[in-house]
Amino acid sequence: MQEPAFLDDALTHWAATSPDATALHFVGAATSYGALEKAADHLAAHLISLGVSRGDRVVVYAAKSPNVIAAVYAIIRIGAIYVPLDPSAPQERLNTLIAATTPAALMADPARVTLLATQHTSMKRVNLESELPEPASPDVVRARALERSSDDPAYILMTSGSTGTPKGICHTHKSGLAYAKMAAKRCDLTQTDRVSHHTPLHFDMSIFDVFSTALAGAMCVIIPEMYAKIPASLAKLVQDARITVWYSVPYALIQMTERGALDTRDFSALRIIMLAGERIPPAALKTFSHHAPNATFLNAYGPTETNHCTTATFTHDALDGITPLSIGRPDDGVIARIGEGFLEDETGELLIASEQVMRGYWNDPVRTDATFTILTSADGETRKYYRTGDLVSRDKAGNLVLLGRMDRQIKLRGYRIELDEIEHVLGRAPNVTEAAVIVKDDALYGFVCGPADLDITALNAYAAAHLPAYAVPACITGLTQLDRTSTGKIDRNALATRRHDIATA
Amino acid sequence: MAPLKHYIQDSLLGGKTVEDSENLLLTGVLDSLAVMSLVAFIEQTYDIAVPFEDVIIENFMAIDAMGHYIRTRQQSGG
Repeated sequence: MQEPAFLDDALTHWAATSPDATALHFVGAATSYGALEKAADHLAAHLISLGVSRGDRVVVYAAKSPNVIAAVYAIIRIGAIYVPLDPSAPQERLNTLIAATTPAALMADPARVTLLATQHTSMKRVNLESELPEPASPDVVRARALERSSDDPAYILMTSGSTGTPKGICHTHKSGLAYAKMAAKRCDLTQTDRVSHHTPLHFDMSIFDVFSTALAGAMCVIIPEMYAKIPASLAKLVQDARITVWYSVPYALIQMTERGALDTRDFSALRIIMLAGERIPPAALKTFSHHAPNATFLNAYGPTETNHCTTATFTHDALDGITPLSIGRPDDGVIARIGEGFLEDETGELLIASEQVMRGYWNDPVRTDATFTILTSADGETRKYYRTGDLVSRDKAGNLVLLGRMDRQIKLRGYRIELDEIEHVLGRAPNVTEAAVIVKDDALYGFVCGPADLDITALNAYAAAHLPAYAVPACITGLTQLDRTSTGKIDRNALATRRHDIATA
Repeated sequence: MAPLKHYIQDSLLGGKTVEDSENLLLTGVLDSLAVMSLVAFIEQTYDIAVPFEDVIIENFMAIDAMGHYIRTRQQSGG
């Protein structure tokens, strides 16, 4: 393949050289590379006819499907920017995000097109399941594609930010592609791979699912949202679609381990399990690993601003079920350093310089400037680094170890406390599968997940035995499930509103 | 299957009415936590055991699918 410059170049390449190869697999139905290219061009021509121009934002608001992936390609092909919104987000949040990005058009599934029909009336609307008029000549789309620069923004991912004001993380074709290429190589993806697309589109992990997979000409197995809720069905899909590369938040794997009836499933096709998004509970991963005999396990780290940029690799033997998993080493094309000093600190903030790093926060130069720092390293090179806000150190083998968020290091009654360390201790206690700790009104609250008959008294004793007195939570609550955000991460804000409200199990 | 429907409408959906044939998973009406509480409710109310391998989309997508599953389990003595 000629060296791709845009995120959609791989699609065009495989559509020309292997048009019948399956690009997308969706509940048994297959979309070939040839058909996907055609669908993308058709939608692109339609967007042009609606007046969408280079640099315009286009909202994608739909559950995962082949049409949605075609829409993403259509948007970036004409130089516009796709803004995926959480299909399950409440109306008020959508309005905030739409106001922040002022999109020219919205592409949605039928249910959602009507949901927003009475608002934002200046936005053009495309129903992703309706028949579109015959497109103008494909040359119109080609001409638009040729006007683009690889430094053009390609997508904006919205995060809530701790203050509630949304941040739009803006990536260019160049930064997105730098990541997609690195990750495809990291996982040795080839045309014979079948890669899971579990993560919703508004979450950065989907960049791997869609674009790394396409670079290799592999098959993207779209997991319908419905399956993500029912672990036994999800496990059956992984088996039946013979997925070779799995990528998700750890939670999806934990759910399959606990409720997926894995003893009845054959996961022998899985060769890579890559997890990201939050810390992996070591015991749960160990339990899962018995069901995937041929897999290697990857712990991928990276904020949305940088994409996944460090990786640790584990064989079966390396998983002991107890030791926290390191985040490994910087990936190809990534420079990582600890702290801002001339020489690296032993413990400090992780800083990342790479082509993978975002262009900036959408329409927010002040916040963008504050997040970057220009430093000269001991090698004499001056680079622009993104401040991750994550506290790291290196272990004896030279791997980066994530200690926690800088803002999760708190002071309580004069003591410096790492909330993430408390979580780690609680998570290691007998029968506990996961733990989260929050601070509210100057008190620590622990939430743990485990069997219904989990012994909270014993857990309190365990915490008292393993933590300094000032770091023992005032109250530990047992839950059957921790609250989750729509992307599957632990929702600590939701837990903070629970506090005492729930009777201990 | 009246208790089942009441439980779904009143306890899980906060009073929202749903059709027996409505796909509750596809539309996002029920999330994974709701499915777990539903399993516990069915086990208690209908005195059957629901193994993990039965908690699949086909059995839990709609009220009538759940009803069919419950009757089958009851007949088989599960």
